[in-house]
Amino acid sequence: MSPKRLVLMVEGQGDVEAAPTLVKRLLAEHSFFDAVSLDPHPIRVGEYSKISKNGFAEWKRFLRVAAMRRNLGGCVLLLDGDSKTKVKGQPFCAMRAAQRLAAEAMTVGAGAQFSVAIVFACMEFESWLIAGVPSLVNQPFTDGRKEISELPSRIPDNPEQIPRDAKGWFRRVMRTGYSATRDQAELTRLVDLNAIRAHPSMRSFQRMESAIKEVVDAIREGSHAVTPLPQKSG
Amino acid sequence: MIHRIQIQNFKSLRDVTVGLSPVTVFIGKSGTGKTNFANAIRFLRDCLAVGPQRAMQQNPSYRCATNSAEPVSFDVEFSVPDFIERFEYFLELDAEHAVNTPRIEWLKYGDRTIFRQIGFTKTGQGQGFHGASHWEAEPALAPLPQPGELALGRLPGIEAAMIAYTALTSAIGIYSFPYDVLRSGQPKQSEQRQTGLSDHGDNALDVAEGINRDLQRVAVRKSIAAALRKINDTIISVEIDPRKPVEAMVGHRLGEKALGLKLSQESDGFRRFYVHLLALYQLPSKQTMVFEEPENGIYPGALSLLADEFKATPDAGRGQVLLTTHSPALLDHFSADHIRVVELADLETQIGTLAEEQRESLRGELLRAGELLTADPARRQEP
Repeated sequence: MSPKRLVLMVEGQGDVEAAPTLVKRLLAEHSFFDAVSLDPHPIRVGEYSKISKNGFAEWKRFLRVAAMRRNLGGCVLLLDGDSKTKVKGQPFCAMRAAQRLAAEAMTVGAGAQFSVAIVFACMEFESWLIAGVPSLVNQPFTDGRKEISELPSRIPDNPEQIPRDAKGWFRRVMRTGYSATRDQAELTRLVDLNAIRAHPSMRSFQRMESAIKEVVDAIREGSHAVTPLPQKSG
Repeated sequence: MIHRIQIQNFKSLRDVTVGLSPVTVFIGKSGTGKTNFANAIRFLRDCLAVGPQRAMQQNPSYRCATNSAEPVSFDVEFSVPDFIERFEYFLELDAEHAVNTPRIEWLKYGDRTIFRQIGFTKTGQGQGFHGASHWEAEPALAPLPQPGELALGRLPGIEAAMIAYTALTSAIGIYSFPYDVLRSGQPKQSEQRQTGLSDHGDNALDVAEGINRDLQRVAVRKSIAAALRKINDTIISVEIDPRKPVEAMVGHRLGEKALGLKLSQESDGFRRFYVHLLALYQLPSKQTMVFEEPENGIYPGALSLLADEFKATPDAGRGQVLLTTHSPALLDHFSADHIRVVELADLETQIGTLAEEQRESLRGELLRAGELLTADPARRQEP
């Protein structure tokens, strides 16, 4: 069986390069490439508030676009969890939002024709990088820059909750400031994933890994996973 | 209209063959070779118009036209209204040495070879050039002209050759208008006779004046004014006093009266929009027009009008339109069939149609064309 295509759906321009960098590393570490090949062209869908509008019309539209890609095995949606959009009238909750997105995905073929995994980075993709920042000290970028020359004096204990502005944190810490488009993929390439895994509060990163594993397992079994499972109504 | 063009060894265009539509939109990241493609057509046109040596003198960027010792070549298949068969013109030049003598040059009309000449051939490094130019297929002209310099354009009496020459020289406009186009507001008193709108629009008011003077085609000036009214509903026309080169004036309707305002005082966006209209409506029409990033400086709301004008131009018999764009708002108005994707791989430009899966997404209205520059960047269909 030829590997099935895994399509990433991401939020911002920085994620377009960083998310494939991360997922490629994860797929390699777990030896998943026998089952999936990573599509190098993520779809930039925008933030939760955008894809949840009008009955999740944009989310379903982008899933249909992904479904047009040949030999599709699954889609992984990776969004920042710092949304202020309400979910069913309640303050934003990443799990509820993911379940809602999963339910909507099933109306356009997820679970039947392809797998889908929805992951919210808490609070942002960069929060994961903060957890691994000790491994980034003095690491040269591809262009030779060493943007983090010493361990920042204050590393948040729980990057998943504080700081809310992880990008802003990097702007303050990096020598020439932080630009997601310019730097996010470089940091993702350099960061020690085990340092992130070892951090006591990186639940959303663990969720990312387990979600990908669920999708790959389903593809290996010839079935289609939806993760998280939508909440049963009633 | 150019139906197909193959370009070899021009800057990043190592070997590119592109099929062209009446309207073709080139998209791709910066630095992939869109401008090189436009410049390649410009280089061919200028070589034919003034000779390769002078073309390179006039435009220093042509000097490094080739990134290798390989010769630059063009193979163009095109048609001309009222000529049933298609033309095909081939030119191979040793750009490195910038000689006026082509290595190979031929013209076909349908299956008929009009002429074919073989020029100098380079035999190896340090060994110079050997052999003399000769006709491999003689042009049907008496007396037979000497082979050597570019033949296209110097075969008066052979209609197909002269038509092809016109189609590949004065009938091509490669437009890249600066932000301050028309800012002086005065017709250019050009010493050199120019055929139609120049590449940077510096004779735009001469073109406007020509349109205004042509009473056989009053509809043209009315069409331009109507398009301008879509972005400013008070506009009546743009007028130039033919007796003296004073400021061009834009006539605005003010109640029952007309108010003339200087064109130079209109916004950059208005003037850029206007000069694009002049290109599209110029008399005589060009056969092929290339517009580089026409969206620059133009009010986003006017881009749909500009797109409509581009699309209407071939149907109205005013020429083929090729354009490059980075504007999702402009691209939204074009279909998958219009789009060519420009990519750079190993420093070589590749140009092709949109990936089939993205074409399907556009056809199915799952994706808007503009999203090929944002959400789901355009990919080239693998050959």
